Amino acid sequence: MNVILEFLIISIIFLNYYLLSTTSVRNLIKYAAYQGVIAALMPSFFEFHPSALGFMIALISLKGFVFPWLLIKLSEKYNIKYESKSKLLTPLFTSFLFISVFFLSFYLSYKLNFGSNNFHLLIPGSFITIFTGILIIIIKTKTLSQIVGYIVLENGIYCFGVSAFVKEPFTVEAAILLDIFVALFVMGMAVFHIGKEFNQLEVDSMNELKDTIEIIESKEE
Amino acid sequence: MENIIIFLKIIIILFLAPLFLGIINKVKAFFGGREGQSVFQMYYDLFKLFNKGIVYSKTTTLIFRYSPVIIFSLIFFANLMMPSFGMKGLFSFDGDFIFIIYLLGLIRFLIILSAMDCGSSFEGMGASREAWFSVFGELSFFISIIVLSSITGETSLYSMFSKLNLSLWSTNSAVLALILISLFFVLLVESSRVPFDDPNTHLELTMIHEVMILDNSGVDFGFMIYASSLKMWFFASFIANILLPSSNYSFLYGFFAYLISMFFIAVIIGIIESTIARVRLLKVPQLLLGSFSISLVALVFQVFRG
Repeated sequence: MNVILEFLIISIIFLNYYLLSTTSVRNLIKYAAYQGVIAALMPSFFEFHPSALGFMIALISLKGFVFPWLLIKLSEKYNIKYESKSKLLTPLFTSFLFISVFFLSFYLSYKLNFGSNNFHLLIPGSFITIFTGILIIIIKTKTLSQIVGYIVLENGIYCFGVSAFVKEPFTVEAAILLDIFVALFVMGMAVFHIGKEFNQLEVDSMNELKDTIEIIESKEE
Repeated sequence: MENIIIFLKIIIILFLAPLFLGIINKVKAFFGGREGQSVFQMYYDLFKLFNKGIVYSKTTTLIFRYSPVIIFSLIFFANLMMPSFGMKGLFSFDGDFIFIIYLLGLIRFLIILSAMDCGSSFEGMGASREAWFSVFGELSFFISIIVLSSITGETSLYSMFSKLNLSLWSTNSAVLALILISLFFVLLVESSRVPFDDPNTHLELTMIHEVMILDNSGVDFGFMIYASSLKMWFFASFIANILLPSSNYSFLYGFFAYLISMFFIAVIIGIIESTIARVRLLKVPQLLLGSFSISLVALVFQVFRG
């Protein structure tokens, strides 16, 4: 069982690398969904509680089907295919970011020292996922990518939950899942309204909004 | 007994390395729906080239004249040092993998030097690329061997491969799989195969290995392509040694298992070449960085597991 778990952790780590460096919004959504499904499968390789099956199915259907469906529909509606080009999204820079996050997470989990061997590798894996989520929100400028960053962040927290609270991961996770579910719908509505108002979903363009207000103010003076 | 094995090894290396390329070409032809060239085409080519005269440019020096033979003998020696079918290589000592890596480095140095020596700007370009791409390839190779050494707790190639048994594979399969992927990338980049370089694209601006041997002719050219097929055989037998958990079985079994696994590696390379397109030249370092990070992940995993 441990070997399968290791493969799952490695696949989650490499998915993080891909998520950080890809410029295609559709692939970002798709691979974040794969990551969510893999993370959701994880607890069954520790101790399997039959009572948790319903929760796992709910998690897989939400992260694997409902969220991506919603986001891909939004991306098709506003015709968002690729990230806009920026200096932060070059392959070299994202690789550098990923490698530093990789080492930072392993160092942190080494310092934190959560005993037990089984969860040994899951903790750095979850740290990497959390940091990747944050970095996606920071370096990508499309609103949809930032929502995906939020989902990736949640995947990481879930992995951490699995490793730290393996007896009762579901009470913790249920609360987080409710949060993200509500947040995603709020974000989806916000995106919908932003798209309707400005006809584009580029976060960088929001900076210009402030300037126009200043210009108006200066004119009033 | 040992002498016989070494003799057998010399024969296998010298006579089967060109066949390895033939199998790859046959698989490619099969995927392209063609009859394809004969499996023994490489032998015919070598025979033809070894019967030809040599033309030297006036700008070349001794380096250009001697490097093909030296390169060939060095890679042949590296092949002899590689343990195969569960038997020791010609030499085996603690830390011999470092020696082998530097042997490969010396070969690369000589190829680059002889390419620069003939004074063509075209070949200088290829030499620059070879030097550039090999940085990551060599790093991945080195890290993979370190991980292997850490898993088995041994420091010579023979003892590493002989300790790698099924129980070790079942407990460390994740890390070993990562190393295998990384080593396969190294095999492809070192022998200039498809995702990195296309051996069939003569006289194109994006080639790497083929451009460096453009000015060699006749016997020299024959030695160069023979050396490149031996290099491929070297890396393939490294992978075969990891794949075959070789501890205690009979010599004959190990021998045939080795040959069959080499055949399968050739088929896999052929399938990769016919299904994947060549990567754009500017993207090659990214792909190599990917292979490097795979081996790095394997290393950190291995260290962290303790």
